[in-house]
Amino acid sequence: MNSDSIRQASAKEIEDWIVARIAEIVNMAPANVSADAPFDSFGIDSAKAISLMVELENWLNLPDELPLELLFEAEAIRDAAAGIAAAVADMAAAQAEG
Amino acid sequence: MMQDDVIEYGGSAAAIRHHYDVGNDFYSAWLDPTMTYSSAMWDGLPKDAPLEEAQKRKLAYHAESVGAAEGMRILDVGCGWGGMMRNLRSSYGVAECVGLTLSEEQLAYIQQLGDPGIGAVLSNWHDYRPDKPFDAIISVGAFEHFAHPQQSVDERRGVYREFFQACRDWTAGKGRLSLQTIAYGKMSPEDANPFISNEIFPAAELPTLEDIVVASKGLFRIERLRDDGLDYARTCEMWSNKLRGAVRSGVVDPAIHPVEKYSRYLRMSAAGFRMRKIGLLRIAFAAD
Repeated sequence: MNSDSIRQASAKEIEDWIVARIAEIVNMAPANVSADAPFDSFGIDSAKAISLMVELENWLNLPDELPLELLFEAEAIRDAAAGIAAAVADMAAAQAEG
Repeated sequence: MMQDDVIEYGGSAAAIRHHYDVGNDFYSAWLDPTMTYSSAMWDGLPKDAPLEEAQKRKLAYHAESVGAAEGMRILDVGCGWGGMMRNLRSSYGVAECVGLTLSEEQLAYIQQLGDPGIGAVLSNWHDYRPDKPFDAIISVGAFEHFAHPQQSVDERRGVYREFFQACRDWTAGKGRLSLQTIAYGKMSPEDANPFISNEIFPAAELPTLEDIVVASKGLFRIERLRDDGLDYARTCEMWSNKLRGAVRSGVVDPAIHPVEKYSRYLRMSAAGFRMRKIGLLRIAFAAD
């Protein structure tokens, strides 16, 4: 993988990544963070939420920012992960077209 | 963090310069071509309408809120780079616009526009004395700077009331006022993020809707009230993306400009609006 290419993670991988990160932030075991719950149900402040998004973008090696609504407006983390995976696939397609 | 604890009425000049005098070139790299540094408005537009179109929609909204028309004289409190005044002149035939700003860079920018119907004054509203009355007043994105975090609720409301009293006086008790301001939503002042309150907007305190209702009572009647926080979330996200693009294309150099600070600020603000911790009030007032 060259340093500029996007990591094409699956929705499930992204979901696991978000769940693990939330678990770290709120100091819970990942098993206790339900992917069926919405992101805003964990009481995470906006600064930490943004840090999470930036880390996720870095992990995925994205050239552009992910729209925050993908995380905040989704009814569940699982849906957020699916939306993010779709956005990542779009960015990867755009990158492949050059 | 500023050590100067003297409370300046009408917005601290040092604090305003701290934020806005980063350089016109820096802002022009990520704002839309109208140089509007406040929330755009998507109401009545397609969801994917570009930022510039939504900024024009916002300018039109405030112009229509005050009934802008030919021959009028309108004051813009916190005029930024003059986008509102330019639109009032070109689209509504407003005869004369006066803008108040505390930023020398903004003043210079407006002066070089060369429109004799647009004047800018380096003054806060508290010290400003117009030489003749206005027909209407618009204030977008300035009210956020009027109060100081060290003031009590009553003191804050006292400052806001002075502002509404001044607006009433300056329009001879018969003008309209269109106000746009960020306000606390689900979040209370003590929960404010120290990064925003110290690094980005030192010496500024947001109002609550209740502050505005209490402070304007008897001076202005609230005709229309909207909370368009999601508009501001989208605006911040678009700015942030544009800033990132400007860095990528070399227009903005992170070694010179505070890219990381602004990027973080814009995205945190967007998150705050999306989480409804803060909201964006648009209020149309008529003289009571």
